[in-house]
Amino acid sequence: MEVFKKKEGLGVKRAVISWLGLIVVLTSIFSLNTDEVYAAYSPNNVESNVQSNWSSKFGNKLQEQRTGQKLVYDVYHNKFTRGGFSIASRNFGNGQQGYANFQGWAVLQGYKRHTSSNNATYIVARKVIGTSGLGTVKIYRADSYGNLSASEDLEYNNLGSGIYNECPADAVKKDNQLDCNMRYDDVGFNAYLPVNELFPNPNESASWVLFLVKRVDNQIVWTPLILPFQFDNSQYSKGYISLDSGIDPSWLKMIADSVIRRLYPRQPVDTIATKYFTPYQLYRSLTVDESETAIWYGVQTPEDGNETRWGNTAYFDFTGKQALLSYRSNYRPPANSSCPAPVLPADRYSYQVDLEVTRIDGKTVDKGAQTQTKVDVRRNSFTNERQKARQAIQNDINTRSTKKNTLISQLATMRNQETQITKDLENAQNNHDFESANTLLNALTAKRQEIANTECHINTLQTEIDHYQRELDRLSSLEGVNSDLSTTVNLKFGNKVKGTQSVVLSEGQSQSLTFDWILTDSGNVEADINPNRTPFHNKSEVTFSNNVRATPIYVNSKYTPNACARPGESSSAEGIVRTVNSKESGQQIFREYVTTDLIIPDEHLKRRAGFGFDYTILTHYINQDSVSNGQGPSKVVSYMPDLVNYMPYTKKTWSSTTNNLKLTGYEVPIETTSTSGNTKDSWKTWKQPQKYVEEFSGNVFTSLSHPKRNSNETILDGGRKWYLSFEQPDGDYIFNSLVPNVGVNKMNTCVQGVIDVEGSIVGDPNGNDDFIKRSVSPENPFPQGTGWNWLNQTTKITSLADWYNNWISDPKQVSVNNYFKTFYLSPEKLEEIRQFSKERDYKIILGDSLFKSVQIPSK
Amino acid sequence: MSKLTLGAFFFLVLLFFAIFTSSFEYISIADSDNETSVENATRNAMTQAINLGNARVNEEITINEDIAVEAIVRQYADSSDFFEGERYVNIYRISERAPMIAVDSYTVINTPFNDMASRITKKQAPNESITRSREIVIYESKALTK
Repeated sequence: MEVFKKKEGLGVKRAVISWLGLIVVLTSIFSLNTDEVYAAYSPNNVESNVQSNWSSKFGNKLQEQRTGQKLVYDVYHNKFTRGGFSIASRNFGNGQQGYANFQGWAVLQGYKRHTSSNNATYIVARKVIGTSGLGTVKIYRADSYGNLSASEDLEYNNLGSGIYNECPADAVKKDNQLDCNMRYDDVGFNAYLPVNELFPNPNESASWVLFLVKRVDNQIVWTPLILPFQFDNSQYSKGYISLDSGIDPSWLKMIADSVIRRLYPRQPVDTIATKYFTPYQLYRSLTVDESETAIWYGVQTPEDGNETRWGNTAYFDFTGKQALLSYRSNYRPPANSSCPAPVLPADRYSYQVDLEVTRIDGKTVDKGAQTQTKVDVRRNSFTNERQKARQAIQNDINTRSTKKNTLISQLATMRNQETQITKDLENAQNNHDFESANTLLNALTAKRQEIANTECHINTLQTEIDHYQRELDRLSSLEGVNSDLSTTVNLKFGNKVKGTQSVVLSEGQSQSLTFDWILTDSGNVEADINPNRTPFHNKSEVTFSNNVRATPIYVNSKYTPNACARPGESSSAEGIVRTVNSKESGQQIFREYVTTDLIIPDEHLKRRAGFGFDYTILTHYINQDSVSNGQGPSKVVSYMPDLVNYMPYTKKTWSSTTNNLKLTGYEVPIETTSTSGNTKDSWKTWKQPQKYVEEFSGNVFTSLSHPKRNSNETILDGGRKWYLSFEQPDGDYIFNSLVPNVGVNKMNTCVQGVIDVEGSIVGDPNGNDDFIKRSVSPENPFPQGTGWNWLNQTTKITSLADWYNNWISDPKQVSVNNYFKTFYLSPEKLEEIRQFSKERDYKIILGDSLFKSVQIPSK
Repeated sequence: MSKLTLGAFFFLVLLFFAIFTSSFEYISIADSDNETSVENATRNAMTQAINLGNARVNEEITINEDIAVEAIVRQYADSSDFFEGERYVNIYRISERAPMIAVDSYTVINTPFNDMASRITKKQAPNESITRSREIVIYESKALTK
């Protein structure tokens, strides 16, 4: 059934009206965007009968006009609001608020004339998706809008301006074709749905299904609001607000017969062939014309090869789902208590510094002399502790990194699940499967909570990782700044600082310091590292108990025995060389020992006057200190009571500096004859210097170049003996030997030797001698036995018998061949000889021979 | 004649006796001096010739040969106090080890009796008197073994 007819001459007029309408609309839009208070209008100002009866009568386009429940409406797609709807900020007396705002028109076609005062449009919303308040219904009154009139669009047999067969003003429930055409003035509406009421919780995603309610006087008819368009979403709060009727609302169902398939909107009937849309067939809406009140839809028309053909909204039923006003929050819930809070413990490792005096020694020296104290210091290493801490920290990091990666993987899965839930939710929403939608919404909320918790957990782990990484960084930083530490070491003696040295120590490094200072007395010497107990980069040493180390130090003893050791006894002395206090060995005391013995061969214990005797001084020196420069005996002197010619010694007295011991005698430095062992355990033997003895004179020398040496004399090897005087009286011959200044302590040992002098080799007045001078006869030279020196030589005597018993007849004729020597001595010669002897004091000196001075004939 | 002769005879006898006696005494003195001198010279020379150095070192008595020779001569001269006649001092042997000195000495002197006898007999016989002394001195260890 075709109700529109072309109006002649209306083209220009319509264009003018359209422009004027556009200006009005723009002005209206402009005014809508202001903050002006619309005192007369409020969306919440809904009459009580509407509130109570809005759902009493159902209506739609399929209703007969005479029922008064044929509810025809459009929501404009772009006519006043680009994109169909927007979130507009308005103040309708309740302060500035946001409103979902869209425009349209609605009529109860055939019920009654619509005037500016008797009709109103309402939007009813019922909450269908959300986490609270499901089923809540809110009713908002739409503002009238734009003096829009649908009279011409709904007019049957429209012949132009004016209403064909217009119904009386009070006519009710009239069909425009069967009865009369009614006026539908001021049927535009401008809906404002307060989003802060509908979506008070910015975190709650919710959907409200919308109904359109039309009241004309007391006739109140409702119908599901269906939008044939895809409206653009509007950003709102933490998400967006959408208004739509499902996935594809553009399918329109032709609900009338004989609706002409126009080539353009409002095409006059007489210009087209009478080709109709197929009743109850679905056509896809391709474009719309919103230039007048009613919307014309250009639909894809299979009957015309899918060309676009136009039809009025009154003949198309919207096939989309009931419109949903939805708010989808991107709200991500904060993590709840299932998210562990970061555990950020204090640094598990506090950088440790420990300086230590590991060793100190005290070297014995002379009082007032310079001593040298060696101090070993060390910076203890805590590398292992740090490595353990570092490993523990790294383990913590690794554990958390692994956990974090697992959670990240799980998070990706969760997000995929979230996406899927969101899609499912969207599908459920589009299908108006609100039960599933709510289930999915809860699932989405739970998933987002799970994601939030996971993200939180990841953040917790990252926070902890960062924390531990910073702990590592701090540890590395501390290692860097503390790689070399400078401090000082004081050496104290008797609470007085004797020296200070600087030292730079890296971890685990040891250094040896040497202090030279004057030792004034025995006492304790101590070393103190970091004496001011200064922290290093705000780190105090872990302990100061090992910063100080002390050890005794001694002035050398110069020990001297009170008396020399008797024969057969040893003379011993000992002294402390050095003390060491070390970390490894504790207190150590190193000593030195010297032991001196005097050894006289048994056969020399008893001597004849004039003989020599041999003795050996045996010294044994032990020094326990491997680094001591203390030496064993370097000198031994014997103090002898007298001398024989030509011993080059002088009489001296040695006095001890520590006691009353005095040794007097001819001081004879004796010589080392053998050394064994090493410097720390040395044995030495000492003997008299080598002696040279003139064979005849018996003079004893220590040097062959002595000025008193007689070159005519034969020199005998006198050995290393000390020779007694031939006049040495009987009795003890006592001498002392001193081993002086031994070792660091300058110790003295002394041994005494005693020789029993008894008789002489010959001519002892007491007959205590070994040889006897006597005359012998060749016949019986040894009547009482032969002395040992004549054994095997007796023929020297017995062979003299002939000579002994027979004279020569003439002494002048003596044969010199038979004699060893012959001398003829006249009385004058005898006198010369006597004079020679007298001049030499009757002494006979080898080399000063008589025969050089006095010529004596042999016969 | 007889008395005068006898008196002359007795005078001659007495003169002969006197000459003989004085000559004998003269020889005795010379011999005694020689003997004493030899003994002293030998013994003292033995003592003077001891090698003291050897005694120190080897603890054995030895003598120095040269010293012994000179000591014998000098000791002989010092010991002799009869200043008549000629002396022949002969060192027969010296041993340094074992120490031994063997010396003899001859004294030759002219006596009045010899002069007289030579004039009476008209013979060219020597008118000298000869004495001899000899001495062997040793140092011997008291011990038979060393």
